[in-house]
This record gives sequence, structure tokens and C-alpha cells, in this order.
Amino acid sequence: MTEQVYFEDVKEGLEIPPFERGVVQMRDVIRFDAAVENYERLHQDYKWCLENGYPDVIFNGPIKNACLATMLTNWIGDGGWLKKLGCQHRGMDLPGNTLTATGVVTKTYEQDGMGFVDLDVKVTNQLGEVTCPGTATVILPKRDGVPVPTVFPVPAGASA
Amino acid sequence: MTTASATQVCFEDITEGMEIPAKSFGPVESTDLVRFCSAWETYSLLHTYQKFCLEQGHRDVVINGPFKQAVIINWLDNWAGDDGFLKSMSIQHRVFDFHDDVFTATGVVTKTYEVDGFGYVNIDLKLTNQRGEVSCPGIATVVLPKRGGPPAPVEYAPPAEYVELLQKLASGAERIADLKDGQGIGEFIPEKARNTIGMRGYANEWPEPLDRATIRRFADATFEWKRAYRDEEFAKSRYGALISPPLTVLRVPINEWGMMGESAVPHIELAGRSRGGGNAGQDAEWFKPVKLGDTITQVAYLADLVERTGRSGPMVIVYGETVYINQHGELVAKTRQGTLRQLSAE
Repeated sequence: MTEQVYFEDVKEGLEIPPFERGVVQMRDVIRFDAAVENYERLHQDYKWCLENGYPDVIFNGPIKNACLATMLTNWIGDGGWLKKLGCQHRGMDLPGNTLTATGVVTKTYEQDGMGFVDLDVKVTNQLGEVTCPGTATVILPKRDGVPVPTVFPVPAGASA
Repeated sequence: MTTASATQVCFEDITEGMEIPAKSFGPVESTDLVRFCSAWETYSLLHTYQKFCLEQGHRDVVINGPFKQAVIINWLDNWAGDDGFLKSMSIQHRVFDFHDDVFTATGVVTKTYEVDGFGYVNIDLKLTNQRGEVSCPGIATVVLPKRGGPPAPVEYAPPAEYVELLQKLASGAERIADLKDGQGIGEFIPEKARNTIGMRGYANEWPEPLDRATIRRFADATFEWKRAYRDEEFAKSRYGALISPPLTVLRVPINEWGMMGESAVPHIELAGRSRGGGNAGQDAEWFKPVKLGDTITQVAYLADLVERTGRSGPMVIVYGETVYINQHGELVAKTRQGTLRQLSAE
């Protein structure tokens, strides 16, 4: 396990360590389909994809969400908490594409005694296309502070 | 113990020469194959990705052998009903089948006999595709209840020769079986490979106990709706726990063994140039169901090397025998797996 990152170490503009997912082959796509039990043709049936005007099998979006989540949870370590992650699927990725997740800190603030960090995150492929931009909020422990909770109250107005 | 239901097929209903009701599967869609690969935990491109298959010269995605084994098991196991038991099944893989193919399983009873008060039925079976090609010929033995009698047993003692094999495998000895005269003789089988016959392969233990999700996914992937795999209350009353379809126990753990069976046996170097290979078929015998919470350890040895000349030229069939032991040290299943290695002289 890497050393724990603390709230005090983080400043706006900081680039966090990227997550190099590497080349994603069809085998990885199928394995992901299996893990999430998604059996849609778009994500596994090459013939169907060609017949429907796609150039190849299309990655399912959550592969990219997972890249972002892995990058963030690797960075925040055992002591941090991934509070929010939102992303958009802007482009298609195909078997053989290389995915890299990157993130930059946009805001740091304290709330209820905890250290919050907002980030801009994105997944970029080997063509330089940003196929999955998004934003995230993580909570980091403060030096000599109490541990970050792992249970949070549901905000007023949020539907259960 | 419950007795046979009104719809249960009973031993008295069976006569030699009788046809088992046929069952069709398919067209087999890519999603069926991916679902099966997911349950089986193999993600070979040959069985999932048409682009790769076309590049390799196949006309479409190739259906994996265990998928065909699964549909044959589904057909027999459902015919045997809640109170019957699929005891053994041997099949060979004879042709490639592809995405969108339709299979029909058919069978004829060749022999009926009684053992310990239960009805045994031997069957000649085949799985045929819509082109009329017999993809998998084979044989099977099913145990049926007698009318008014108790369900077929769900636990069987291993025969004496398996007890000896189990003891050898448990002993840690490297040599599991003796090399017999005339065994492993062939132009493509060097002396070193021949001397490997009978030697222990790798043992593999499932990484975690069998859980409900894996059973459900296996049942989904094999079109299985039998109560024993879906209805925990019924399964508990009959087996003591939810059980998984028979093929589950033969599952190959990913990243451990490559092609079924062969890489479980010691590595062998054959002579000549490789022209390819494939799954030749498998003989499987079950001694008890695999249950929720079971952890299976698979141990294999190289049983034989047989050189033949096939339609496409010379080949060596590598036979591995594997025993599947549960966490209580009980034999759950035993298989003999054939893997083809097609060769040429240069």
C-alpha cells in the first residue's frame, strides 16, 4: 500500500497519479461484461455491431467509470473515501484502445471537520480523445485528525 | 424422503431401444456464449470475438466444447428429473459449431439394469447441428428411481480402482500410474514424453467456496431451471444444500489451466511442428453433487498419449485424468479429458 495522502498535502491544481488501464482487448471487455452481468450485443457481438453501423464491439461505459474509480481509490488510499463520481460518455472505445485516467484537483475545502477535495477527471484514449470526462469529490483524512467516516447521512431532500 | 412425483420418469417406463425425448437448443447467440464463458471463467477470443475468429479463418465464433457438454447435460439431467441422477457421460467433439447454430440432443436406451435396487439406464447419445453434422457423439448412464420407491441416491462410493488412484494422488508421489507396454508409442512421441505418462500434474484449489451467485450464473448460462439449482428449500430437503449443475464441478479455474485438462498435466514436448489443437472430448463421472459452500481441489495426471492419423494428418491425443475432491476429502467427480495436438513432420 502506498503512503496515505492527507488533506494538508493537497492543493488546487495538483495532478493526481494517473491510472494507466493500458490496452483493453476484447478479452477484457468480455470479462467486464461478465463481472457486471451485462449481456448486450453492443458490447460483445462483433457481427451485430457491424450490421448496426458500429466499427467494432463497443466498450460498455462502466469500464471507463471503473478506470476513474480505480484511479481515485488508489490515490486516496485506505484512509480516504470516494464520495461522488460523475462522468459522461462522450465517445466510443473499441477493442485495442489504450485507456488512461487522469485527474486534477479543482477545489479543497473543509466541511464538518473533514477534508473535501473536488477534482476534474477524465479518461483519454490513445488517439487523444477524451471519451469520458467527469468530476469527483473525495474526502481525505487530516493529519492528526479523526478517521474519515465510511457512513454518511443522506442529505435532506435526497430520495432514498 | 419424498417419493417420485407423478411426472417423474421411472425405471419401469424404460425399455431398451427406446428413444429419449429430443431437446433443441439455439440458435446459440453471442450472448449465450459470453454468458457461458462468464460462468465457466474462460475468456478465449475463439469463443467470443467474431473478428478474431474470421482472422483465424473460421466462418464465425466457434462454440466451445464445454458449452455443448452443458446442453447435453441439461437435456439428460432434466429428463432424469428431480429424482434421477446423471451418473456418467462421455462425449467426443467431432466438428466445429458456430454462433447461430441450432443443436438437437437425441438418445437411445441401450441397456437397462438394476444395481442396489435402483434402475440404471445406459444411453447412446448425440448432439446434432442444423447442418445434420453430429457434433458430439457419446454415451451416458442415468440412475432412475423405481416406481413407488425412493429417489435415486445422490451420493455414490468411488469404485476400488479410484480409491487406489485417490490414495496415490494424496500420497504426494510423482508417479501416479505405471507406464504400460505399448503405451505412448509413436513417431511424434519422444522417449521423454512417453516417460511422462503416469506422472502427476498440477493441483488446483478453487479460490473461494462455491457461492449462490456462481450457482445462479451457472444455471443461467446452461439454461437450467431444475429445482435443485434454483429452489434452496427443495435442494436443502434433498441434498442438504443448494447444489449447482453437474458441469460446475468440472469448471476450469482461470489463469491456472489453459485448454481444458491438458495444461493440468505435466508439460510434454512432442516431436514435429504443431498444426493446432483442440478439445477432443471428455469422459465425466459424478459421485455426488457440488454444493453451496464447497471448495473443490482438482488434481490431474497424464494418463496417456495416443498417436493417430486423422482426416487432416497426424495427431497426438493427450489424455489427462482429473479427480475433483471436496473440502471433506470426498470424491465429487472424475474426468478423462482428451486434447488434440495436430502435428506435421517438419
